[in-house]
Amino acid sequence: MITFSAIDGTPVYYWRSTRGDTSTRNWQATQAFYDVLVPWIRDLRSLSAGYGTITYLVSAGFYVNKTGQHGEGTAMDLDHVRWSGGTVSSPLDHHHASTDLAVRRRYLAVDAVCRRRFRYVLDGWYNADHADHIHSDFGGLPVRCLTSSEADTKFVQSLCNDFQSSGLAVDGIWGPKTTTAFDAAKAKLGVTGDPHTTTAAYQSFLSAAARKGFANQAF
Amino acid sequence: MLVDPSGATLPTTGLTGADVVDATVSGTTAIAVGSLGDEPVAVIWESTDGLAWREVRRLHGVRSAFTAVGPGLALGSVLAHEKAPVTRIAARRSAAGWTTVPARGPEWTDGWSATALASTPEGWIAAAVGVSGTVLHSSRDGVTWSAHSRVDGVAVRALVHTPAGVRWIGNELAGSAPLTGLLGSAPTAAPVPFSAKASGTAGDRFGWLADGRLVTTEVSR
Repeated sequence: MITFSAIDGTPVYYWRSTRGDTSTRNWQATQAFYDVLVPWIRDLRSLSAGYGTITYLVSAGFYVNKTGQHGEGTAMDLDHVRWSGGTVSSPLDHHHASTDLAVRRRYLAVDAVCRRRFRYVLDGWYNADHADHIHSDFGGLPVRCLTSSEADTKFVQSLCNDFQSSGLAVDGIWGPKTTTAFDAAKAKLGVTGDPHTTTAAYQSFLSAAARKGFANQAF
Repeated sequence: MLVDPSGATLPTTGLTGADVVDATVSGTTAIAVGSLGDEPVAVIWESTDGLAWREVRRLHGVRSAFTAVGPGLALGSVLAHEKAPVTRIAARRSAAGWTTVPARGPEWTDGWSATALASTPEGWIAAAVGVSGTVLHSSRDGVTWSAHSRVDGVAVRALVHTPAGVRWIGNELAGSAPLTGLLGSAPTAAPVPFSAKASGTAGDRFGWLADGRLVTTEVSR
C-alpha cells in the first residue's frame, strides 16, 4: 500500500465532513492501483482540455477498511472534479440526475473516462448507494462492455438516452432495444470493432463519448 | 494460518480456497465466515481447536459472502455481478445448526458491507460501512434490528461490549488513521503504528495488522 495526496500532481480532497475543505489528505491504495490512476487522470485532462486544467479532485475514499475492492486498496470513490475554468462535475451533488442536460452529459463523460481504465464502475444510475459518487475498481478486468453487467448496461442506456434520445428504460437489462441504440451510437461515433469483446474498441467508444459529453454535443 | 498469542503461525486444515473475513469464539467453538470461489458463495466454518476447520453452512447457488460474525450470528450480503452488496443476509446458530434468517430494520444499509458484530447483554450490535462512515444497528433476536448510532468518517471493523459501553476500532475513511472509541464518544487515536489496519477481536484484545505484523491492544484502551 502506498500513501498519496495527489494523483499525478492533482490534489485529492475530502468533503464528506466539511464541504469545500482543501486540506491535504493522505490517501492509501496499492501501487498497481495508483499506477492506473495516473493514466486515468491523464485521459481526463486530455479529453476535457476545453475546460482548462483539472484544479482538484474530491474523493470519498480509496483504501477503506471493509471487504471487497476498497479493502484491497484497489478502488476509488469519486465525488467531484473541478477544472481551472470553473466548470465542475459533481457526483456528490447527484449530477447524474440534474435537470440540465449539459450537466448530465458532463457526468457521463467523467463516467466514461473512468470506464476506460476500470472494469467495474458504479454510478448514480446503478443504485441509490452510488447516487452521490462514482465508484471505480479493479474487479473483473480487462475493460469491456458486458451485457451481463447491470452497471455497464445502465451506463449504456443512460448514455444513449442523453446523447441520442433513445428513450430506453434504464433497467440494467440488455435487450434488443439497447442493442439497437448502442449500435447506432457506435456508428455515429465512428467506432469499429466489438466493445463487448475488445478492450481497444470499448476504450475508443468511451473516448468518443467523453469528447461529446465534455462538449455537450449529441451523438 | 492461525497466529497464536505468542505470534507463532500454525497451519490450518479445512480452509483451502477460503476467503476468511471474520472470526469469533462462542463457548468452546471457533467460528469463521467468508466465502469460497471467484463467483463467491457465503460459507461458515467451525473448529474446536482453531486448526482443524469444517464447513457447516454454505449458501449454494447464491453469489454472496458472510462478512461479520458474532457468537451465534453471522451477517453478510448477496452480491451483484460487480460484487457490490445488494441484500443483507443473516444466519443464526441453533442446536440444529446454522440457518438463514431475515434481517428486518437495516434494509436501507443493504448496499453497505457488514463489518463487525458483537454480542451484548441485550442481544447483538452490528456495524455496516457506507461511503460516509459506519452505522450501528442493535437487535435482541438477530432478526429485528433498530438504528443504534453512527461513527461518521470511520470504517469500524471490530466491536466489543465492555462495562463502559461498546468499544470499537477502525480506520478513518480519509487517511486510514487507526482510531478507537466508545460508541457515543469522540474517536481517539489508537495506540498502534499509523499503518495499522483494524482487523478484529480475540478475547479481551483487539487485533490490528501493521505492515504484515499482528499487533494487539487491550479492549479497554
